[in-house]
Amino acid sequence: AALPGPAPADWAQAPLDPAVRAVLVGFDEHFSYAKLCQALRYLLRGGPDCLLVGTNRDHRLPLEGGTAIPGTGCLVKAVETAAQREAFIVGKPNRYMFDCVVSEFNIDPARTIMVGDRLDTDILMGNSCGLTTLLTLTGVTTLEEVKGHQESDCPTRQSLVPHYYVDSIADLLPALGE
Amino acid sequence: GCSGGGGGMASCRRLSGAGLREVLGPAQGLLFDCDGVLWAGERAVPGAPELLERLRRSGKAALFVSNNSRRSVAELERRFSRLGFRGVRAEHVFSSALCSALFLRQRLLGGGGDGSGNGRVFVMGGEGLRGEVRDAGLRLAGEGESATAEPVRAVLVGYDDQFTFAKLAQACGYLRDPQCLLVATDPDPWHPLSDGQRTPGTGSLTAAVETASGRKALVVGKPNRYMFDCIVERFGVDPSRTLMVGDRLETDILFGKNCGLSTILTLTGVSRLEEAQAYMASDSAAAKDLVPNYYVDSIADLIPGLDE
Repeated sequence: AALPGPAPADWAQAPLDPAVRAVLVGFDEHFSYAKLCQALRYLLRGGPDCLLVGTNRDHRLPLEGGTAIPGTGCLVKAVETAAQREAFIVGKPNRYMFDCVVSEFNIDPARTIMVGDRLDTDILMGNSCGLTTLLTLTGVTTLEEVKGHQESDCPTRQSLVPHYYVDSIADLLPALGE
Repeated sequence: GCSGGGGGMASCRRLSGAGLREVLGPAQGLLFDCDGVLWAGERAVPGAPELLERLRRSGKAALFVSNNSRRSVAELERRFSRLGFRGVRAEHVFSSALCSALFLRQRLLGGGGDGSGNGRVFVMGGEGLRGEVRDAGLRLAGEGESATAEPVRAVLVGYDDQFTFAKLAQACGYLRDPQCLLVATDPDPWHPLSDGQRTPGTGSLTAAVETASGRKALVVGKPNRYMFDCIVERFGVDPSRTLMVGDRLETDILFGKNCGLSTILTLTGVSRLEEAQAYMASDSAAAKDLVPNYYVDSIADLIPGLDE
């Protein structure tokens, strides 16, 4: 909906949709202060009856060439800070998506491997859900980072350590039959 | 009496009657927050202009310390006048916009440089904030740069109602240089609007920049001490003879505690008395620092404590 004027005082007068019962924060390259304002208004109007949900907390999205753009986690943090409440996070490392998979496909965690390139999302989720975890090095994580966590005394960092690693998932081919 | 907020726990006593004279009598000066204390939106708090006038007549100093980074101190001087406050000059007003500019001038120019070859500042904020940074002798990124422009040496996050994802991405680009400072004008998560709604504050925007960059911002505004240091440098106040008056426990009252000032909470703004009492009842040491020494319903209630 178009904003009724140039300033936040105007935006706070725009009518709110009476049917809104949740604010969902995902990756939004058109994120703006005006949207943040509207999110805050819905959350204050609804209180606990208005859900605050974030798709994930990734800080950065890597691009080719080694640069990165801000991730959804930044936008979730902005809304959480303004509203002074915590979002329910759907994505890894939280287990909600694993629960969705389990309910559709009858997975046995003891016989399932989680394959990923990020320690704080893929591997942490796999470990938390009782899966065997396999790190591939074709993405954001280096072996040095893993060793750092492995050698630390901190249990939180230990939970980021995968069971196994490969340089690439192509390395799995020889283990599979003809 | 008016001893500094250092010793003993604050007990949130209502200030009235004889207590008013005991507390205000020895005070040499008062520091006031602005929004929610002197005015709410475009309306002065009833009696506030008279209080300032009575302070002047009693020979007590009144200085102003605000986390609001929207306006330049020149604009604030005009606002004071427009809302009926007499005799307040820009030099009496310490906004987070001004103090952020002073902070950056110190860090980037080493206090007194001529601005050349010392890097630029990427400002995420409105024209009031941008103007204060320019007035401090700093150059802004995004204004007349050439291919050989100096590096961006600081990202300054303020109240920015034109904040966008694109600006956030731009800030992160600059912050990839570990030499580039990340500074925030204030930590406020939201501000009240006159109809009871809230608008997001600098704190929420800073959280986005911190998350994307993996850096922690240096926060200039209350409750941190820097703005008090600016006040002391310009006016030499004695904390043990100065009172801090504010409406927000987490910024104004904690600021008073951090600077050794006795604190007065006024109830015309953000914080409710119940919140102060809850902090007082809490077991946590950090919570105790948010308890004011005194409270009043409005700063107009201080008037009887001053000589006629």
